[in-house]
Amino acid sequence: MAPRAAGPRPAPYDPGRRIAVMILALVIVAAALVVQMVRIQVFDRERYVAWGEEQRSRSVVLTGDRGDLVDRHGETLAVSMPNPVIWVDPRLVVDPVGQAEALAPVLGREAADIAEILDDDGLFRYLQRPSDPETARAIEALTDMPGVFVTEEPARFRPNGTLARSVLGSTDVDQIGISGIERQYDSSLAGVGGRMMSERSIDGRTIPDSERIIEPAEQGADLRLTIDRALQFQVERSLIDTVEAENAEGGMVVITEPATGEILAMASVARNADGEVVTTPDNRAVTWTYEPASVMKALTFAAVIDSGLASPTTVAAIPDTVNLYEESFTDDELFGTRSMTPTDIIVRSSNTGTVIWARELGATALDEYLRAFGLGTATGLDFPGESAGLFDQVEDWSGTSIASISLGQGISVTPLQMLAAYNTIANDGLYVAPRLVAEVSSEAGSERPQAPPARRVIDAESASAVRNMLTRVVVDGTARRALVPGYDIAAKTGTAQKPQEGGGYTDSFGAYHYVATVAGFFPSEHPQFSMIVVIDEPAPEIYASRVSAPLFGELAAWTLRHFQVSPDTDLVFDESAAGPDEAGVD
Amino acid sequence: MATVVMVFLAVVVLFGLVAFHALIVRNQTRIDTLNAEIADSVRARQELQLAVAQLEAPDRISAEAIGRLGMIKPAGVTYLEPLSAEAAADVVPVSSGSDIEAGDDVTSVDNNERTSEEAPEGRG
Repeated sequence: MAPRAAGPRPAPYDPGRRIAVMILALVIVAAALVVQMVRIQVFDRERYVAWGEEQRSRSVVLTGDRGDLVDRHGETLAVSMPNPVIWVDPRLVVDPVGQAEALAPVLGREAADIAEILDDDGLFRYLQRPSDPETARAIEALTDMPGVFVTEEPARFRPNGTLARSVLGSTDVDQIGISGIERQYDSSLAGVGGRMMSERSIDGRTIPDSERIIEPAEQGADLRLTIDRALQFQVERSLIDTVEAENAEGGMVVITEPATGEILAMASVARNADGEVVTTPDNRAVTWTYEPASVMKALTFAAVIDSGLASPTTVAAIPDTVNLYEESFTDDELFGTRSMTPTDIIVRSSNTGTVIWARELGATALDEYLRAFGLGTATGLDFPGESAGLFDQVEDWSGTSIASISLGQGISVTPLQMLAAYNTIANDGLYVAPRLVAEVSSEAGSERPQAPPARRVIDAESASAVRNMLTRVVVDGTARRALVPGYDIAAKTGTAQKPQEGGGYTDSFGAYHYVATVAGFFPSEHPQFSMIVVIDEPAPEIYASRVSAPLFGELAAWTLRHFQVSPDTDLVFDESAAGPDEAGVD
Repeated sequence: MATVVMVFLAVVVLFGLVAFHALIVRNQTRIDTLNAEIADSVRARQELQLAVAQLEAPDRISAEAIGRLGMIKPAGVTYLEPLSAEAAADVVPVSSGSDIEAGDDVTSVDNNERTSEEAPEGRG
């Protein structure tokens, strides 16, 4: 047996002390946990709750798409679609110069310009807005491109290119209408964005039975226009051809349905800086004013006949010259004095005959009738930039104003104003305001925009008489080139001198410039369509009867065919009618 | 025995709750997937709508007709007048064995009367 070592005996094992230490440690730990819990649950509760919500919550912006624009048959004219944009968070960019060099060929921009954006101090800069799907895919394919992102936002697309661009107008990059219908109906077209808040797990899945807040987006209203896409295309193409062929500066055509005032086509074209004839962004048919010249004579005689002064067959002695104060008004043909009816005067577009009857009517009555026809007042279309024309108050007329205004000079109108006046004659004397929007459709339903109520200007018999006179203008008069085989066409020509900057009608070289107009409707007995053709500064041929009337006839034939209006079987086309004008040019 | 039953029931209820929760999670995942598919379909529909509109654009159709198919603008339009009942009775049916051959004009339309020529100055 081994001897036991000598020395003091070790203290006996005391488990109570160790337990006490352990308990103390546990109490301390528990106290620390309690303190921490109290701190988290009580004092910092809000912060941790917010932190948790921030981690779980995902907010998604719901876009309220801008409404579509469609034509009268529902064919798409403008539509909004998600489109990529490329943006950068400069804080995350590692190598501005190197990344810029990689981005430059994809974006088609100088690397230095891109590097400047990547090196910005801000949090957000656009690199390309709007972009396109191909570029976006190329950007996404680039490796090692920290800080550069592709996202989507709505963009406006016009699948028909520049068709009806002056009517439709445009939007800016933020989808706000800045011109045309897009601007006029921006509040209806614009959608209202919404938001969806949901709670997501770390892998992006929705946490079941969690809180979900949805603020639904409101889609913008769709607009159905009165425009007919096919007719609009034909009008633009033919107008461009005519302006090019006649060496003109520009032109406008408007085609409407007189009974409803619905505009079926409205086109404006002009030469650009390169001399190419293109459709204009500006809707000149409602924003541009000019002296209409002889097309005004139809309105003058509508007033004369409606006031009971004359009938279409009233014979009067008409001289070839009328002197009024210091001015002389003459006809192209100096015929001395001869007997003419109002129909003869309109068919031959006699200036002196018109002046004589206008003086019989008197300034006050002429002023009242022309204003009732809508001259001097905007049409009610409310198109952005629409002009009311220039029409002096009758108190401000000079001694010769009654003569010049009755001939369509000393007064300016928009092409649409003049067509609306002709529509009054087509409508048995009722003025119907033109309209471009047939229907506004939203989630709440559809509605037809209000238009000014129709008003009577002349009585139905007077309107019928003027229609017959205008039909004679096409059969026997200055608008023979507007003739459409198988149909009765009513129209009037007018060739106006164009005022020049600085006053007067001659330019710095002493040359005159002209505007050639034909306005009318068809079929003339029961008009279904009306049209005005305005050719701005044709040269060297200047007369509407030769410049504008052929286009009027071409488009009238196309319109009648497009809308399947059968030719009148009683009307046999007389080929001898294809000869030169018999009643002069105008 | 009662304790065993209680424990068993508790286990069953517990497993039931777990299974129910799993079902909810699975359905939520399904809902998320369907929502994503709806969004994709809406996007695809918009893209197709735009593509159709672009294909139907008159400018494109005109260019295709003239450029690819070799079509030309007609010089004029010929209107055919329907036959009267009497005239129609006189028309010999093709199937009756007449001498009509391919290329013969078998209409009885008075082309001199109803043919529309170009408008004056040839713009029609």
